[in-house]
Amino acid sequence: MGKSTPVFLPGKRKYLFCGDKEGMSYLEPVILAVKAQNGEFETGFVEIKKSPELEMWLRSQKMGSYLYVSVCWDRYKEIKALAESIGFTEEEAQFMGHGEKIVNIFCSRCHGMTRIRESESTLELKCTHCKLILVISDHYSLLRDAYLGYAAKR
Amino acid sequence: MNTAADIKEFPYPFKGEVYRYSNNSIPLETPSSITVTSTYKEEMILKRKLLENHPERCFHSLPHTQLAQWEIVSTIINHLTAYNPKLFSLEKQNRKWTLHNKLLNETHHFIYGDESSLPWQPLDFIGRHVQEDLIFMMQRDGDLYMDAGQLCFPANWSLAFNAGMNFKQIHRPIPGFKEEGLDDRILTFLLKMEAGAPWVRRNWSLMAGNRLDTSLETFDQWGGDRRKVTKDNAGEFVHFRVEVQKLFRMPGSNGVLFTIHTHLLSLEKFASNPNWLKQFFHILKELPDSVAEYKGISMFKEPVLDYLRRQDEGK
Repeated sequence: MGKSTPVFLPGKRKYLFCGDKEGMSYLEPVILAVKAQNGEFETGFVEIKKSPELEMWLRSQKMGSYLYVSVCWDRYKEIKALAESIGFTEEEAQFMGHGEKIVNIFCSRCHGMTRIRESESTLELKCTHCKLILVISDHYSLLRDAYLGYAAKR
Repeated sequence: MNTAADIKEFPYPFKGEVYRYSNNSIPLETPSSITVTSTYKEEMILKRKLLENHPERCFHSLPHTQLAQWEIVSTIINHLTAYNPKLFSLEKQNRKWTLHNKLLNETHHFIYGDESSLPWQPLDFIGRHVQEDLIFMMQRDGDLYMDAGQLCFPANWSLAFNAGMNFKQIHRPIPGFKEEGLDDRILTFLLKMEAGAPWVRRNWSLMAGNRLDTSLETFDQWGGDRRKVTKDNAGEFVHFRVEVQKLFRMPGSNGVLFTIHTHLLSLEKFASNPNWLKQFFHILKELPDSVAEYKGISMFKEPVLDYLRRQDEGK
């Protein structure tokens, strides 16, 4: 999962800041810290840079660039996957999400996914596919990007 | 289908009077990943039916495991033919292999390393000739990842959900596994395993009924049976479930192959051995609630204890 606040890591050759309007406001303290050290940096607003432009921008960066991404949860996975596919490793980037977060619940019976808002803290829900009542667990699959829903014991 | 094996083939899982989760692996004396038992044919029919009807829950592989899957095919065929020469044989003409399975009266021709010569992926193919479930974990970045598996007889877990997880992620639901540092200790042990030095461990639980396919996907079909256990029907209805898990380091891929052979035995047959009866009665009586809960026993632990007590008093 993404970090909630960015951490400034000094000494990088160049800094890249990528975010939406709200996300950029969270990155502001780090941008100021880079400026204070006369560090090289570039910014890329995700509203302006749609995926092809964003991809070209990220691809054009050289080794030693350090990436900060702060976007709404809706676009978090897409942009993280894009950055990773271009070659930014966990050591070369920080990813943060904000706003309402949606999580997937994996049905243990039919393997269907039911999407719920993270803020809707609930212990049980009905699978939207097979209608089985599921107990939500904290067992998480990165591959499925989902938490396991067990059949409720009735 | 009654798949309960004979008492002579039952791998009794206990050593002491107390049971706790631990790394209970010991060196495997006969280095075969496979055991053929008296229930072979009926289990093969069941396994193939499950694979046919539920491929999404019974088989999983990531693309980078293809080469490793062939190594597993070679290893398992070597074990089948070396330890059961009257039942299995292999003819090789360079890469053209012919497997004879005399128990099922089948002959399979394929080109070793050529996936198009098989109707299924290599692991899925060889798994259809052995009673064991086959789980393959790839090693990278100092960790083990479940990147391929054929699983028809799981003890209440889902291959489809656990696919691609690392060792600690897979075992997260086990109570105390992380808190007691078992996850680190067992992972370290597995990472240090060497080719040519296989290990074996036995895992146990009790179940209501005698289904081999107690997958998480079918929990709604069998989970409720646990409420039907009474002290009067426990002997016939409740079954011991023991998994013999064998661990092999694969020298080619550097992954670890787990073969899991599930044995079922009715409590009645189990209790006919007075030593087993006494020891297990003690173990179950003092089993921590969290362990009983995870093993799915909590709901019928008391009637089983009543049954065992009555059997013990009668001996």
